[in-house]
Amino acid sequence: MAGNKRIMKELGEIQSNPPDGVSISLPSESDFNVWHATISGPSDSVYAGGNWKVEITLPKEYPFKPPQLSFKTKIYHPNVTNDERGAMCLGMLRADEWKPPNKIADVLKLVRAVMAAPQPEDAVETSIAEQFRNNRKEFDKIAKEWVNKHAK
Amino acid sequence: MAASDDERVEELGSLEAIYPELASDYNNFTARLELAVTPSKPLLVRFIPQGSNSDTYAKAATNGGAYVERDVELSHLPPLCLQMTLPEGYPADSPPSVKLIARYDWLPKEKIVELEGQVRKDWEEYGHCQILFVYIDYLQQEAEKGFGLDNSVDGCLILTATAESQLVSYDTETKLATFNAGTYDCGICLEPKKGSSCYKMRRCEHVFCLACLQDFYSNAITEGDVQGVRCLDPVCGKEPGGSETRKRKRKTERTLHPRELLAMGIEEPLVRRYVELKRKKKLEADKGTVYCPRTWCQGPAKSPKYPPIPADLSAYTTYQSSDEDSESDGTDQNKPNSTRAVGTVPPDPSDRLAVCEKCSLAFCKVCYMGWHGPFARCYPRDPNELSVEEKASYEYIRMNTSPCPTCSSPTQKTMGCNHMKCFQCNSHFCYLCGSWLDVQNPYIHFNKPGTPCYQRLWELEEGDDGQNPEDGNGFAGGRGWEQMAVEVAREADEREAEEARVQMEAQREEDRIANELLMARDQEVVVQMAEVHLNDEPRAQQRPARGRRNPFPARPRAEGNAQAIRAHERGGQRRDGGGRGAGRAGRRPAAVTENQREERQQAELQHFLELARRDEEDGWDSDELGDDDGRFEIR
Repeated sequence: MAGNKRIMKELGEIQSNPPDGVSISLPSESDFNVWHATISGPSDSVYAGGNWKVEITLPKEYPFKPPQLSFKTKIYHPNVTNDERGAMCLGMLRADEWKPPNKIADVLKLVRAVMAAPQPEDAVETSIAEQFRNNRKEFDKIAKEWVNKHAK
Repeated sequence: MAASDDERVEELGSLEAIYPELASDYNNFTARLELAVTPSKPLLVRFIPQGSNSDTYAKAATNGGAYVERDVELSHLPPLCLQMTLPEGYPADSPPSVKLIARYDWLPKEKIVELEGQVRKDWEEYGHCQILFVYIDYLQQEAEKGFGLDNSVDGCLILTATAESQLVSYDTETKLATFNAGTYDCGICLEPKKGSSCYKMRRCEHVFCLACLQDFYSNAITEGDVQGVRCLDPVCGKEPGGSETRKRKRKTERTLHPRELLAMGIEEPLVRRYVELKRKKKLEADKGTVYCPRTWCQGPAKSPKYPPIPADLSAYTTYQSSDEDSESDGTDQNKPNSTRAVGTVPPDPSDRLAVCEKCSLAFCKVCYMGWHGPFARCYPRDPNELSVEEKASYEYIRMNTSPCPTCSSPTQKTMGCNHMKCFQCNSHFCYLCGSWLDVQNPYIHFNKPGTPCYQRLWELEEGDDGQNPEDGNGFAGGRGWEQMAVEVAREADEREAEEARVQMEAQREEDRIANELLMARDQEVVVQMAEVHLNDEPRAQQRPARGRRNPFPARPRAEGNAQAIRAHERGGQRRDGGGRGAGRAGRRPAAVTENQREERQQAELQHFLELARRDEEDGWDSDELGDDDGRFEIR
């Protein structure tokens, strides 16, 4: 399969020209299917000033199957599961929406866009989504607290 | 004059430099050049049946006959061959003579004459000098404009239908050749690829490399992901905009036609699977689909809406070919009557006939029995109800399989030891008791003294086919508790039935004594009843307590009038509100004459028939017939 070659190519591309606010590293010299991204909070959002470690796992079928995202740094966000997995699964990351020409760079751009503008209608954490919709002040407060506690 | 000084030699030489493909003959001063005709805007060509090139709609219509015209836009038209002859005295004294020949003769005569005439005009205009380059340039410019052929009254070029296949295939071949010569960046492997190893989507013209497409679609089809067989461009089929419109759009995103998959070089069996899966999904989504009542078959009934898949997949242009997926909803809405609610009786009796497309069984789609002809009266049946065979097969599964403790797949051992590995989820477990076994050391389970499975690794070595293990411990499999419960319930049923029988016997004995005492005084009304119940006794014995399922096999059906009367009588009794006790109290054996009894029976029969006419025969004791296991309940 075209997988490995493509992953190398993407890696080269993303390291020479990373998307805004993102840097990439490989935790293991031998395994190119696990990437570590450090994503900085978008400046005009409640996450500004924080840095999140996100693990990107490329399935062996990649790019036919979507990569899996896992926030290793806790984040208070309606679209990220509030557990040790810290999974995010929306838009192009869904198996039925994923198309092979999508790249990791696109995925990371999506992550930052969703950080800047949470999508409560597609939430995995419904209570956070509800708070985001109905009590924005409280949401912002907790989110910022979490940034200070976990992401700095 | 030296040959080299001849202006004709000079001109041919320079033309050769400009058009390397020019074929020139210096001896006869002729040259030939093929000019591609690729209009900047595709040329609209209308193919009409028969008649000459200049036929208009009116002409063709007056000629009579079927007028089936087809409009096709062609980007590439067959080339024009320009033959030039430079006579003695050219260019000073005489113009060049030219001849134009369109391959497949598609260019109208008048146009050719007009184009050929231009060379003389140019020659005159440019003052009798070397004119060929100017002329060729003129032709090329004209070709780019489609020779202005769409400026006619019809707004298109009109040709006879006979030319269609040649022109269309020339167009496609040229397009393909152009495509193949190009280089494209495949969005999947991110490699630049030659056009010849790429594929351009027919509808949206997105290009990917064949290797990636084959990999992706083969994989999707193997996994059964039919929806994934669509253009892979991330924005293809989606409109930019809010998530609302995006979601709506996603539903209508189109899957590919099998023809395209074949063109990509995907193996035929896979493409066939794709078509079959698509068809199956459609059938299953259609609430109007009727399935074969044979439990081993359960194929869908033939339906004109879903014709069978043709042997030649590229000819697959049926009900809603994949191109028109999005339109399916629309057509359904337009014809709300096309699908009938399940369970209602179709108005035309012959509409009830359904034929299974797998086993060809002809059956009735209302009662799910074999086809009974259009005139039989029948009632809807719930096809989900268990049939005898289904019950038997559940029973078999219950008795002769052991479920995997992880995924519950029924597993039957055909031979070997009792260390099982589930074929579905690969769990290791004990066939006898259903415990999970340690993958590293599975046999320790059978080696612990004192445990139920101790030393029983090889029990049922020949497989589990309903026989019991030798030691009489009884094989229960993972369903041991279930089987125990069934056994306990069965025993309780038997015990209760026995108690009921004993009680009834005692009661009858009491009755008999009481009746003997009363016999002399009372001979009238109740006599017949008692007689009937005496007839019934052997059966009544077997009756278990009410409200339980009968654990005994079905008894034979009623055999005639007497039975019917008995049945009715019992119903009557119940309606009286007196119940069994009241009836029993009146029971006395009677010294009635044979005559009297027959009269009574006759009267009862009349009464029953009367009830039947008024549709009240439901008042029977339905237990009488309800025990018949093989029958379907009529709803």
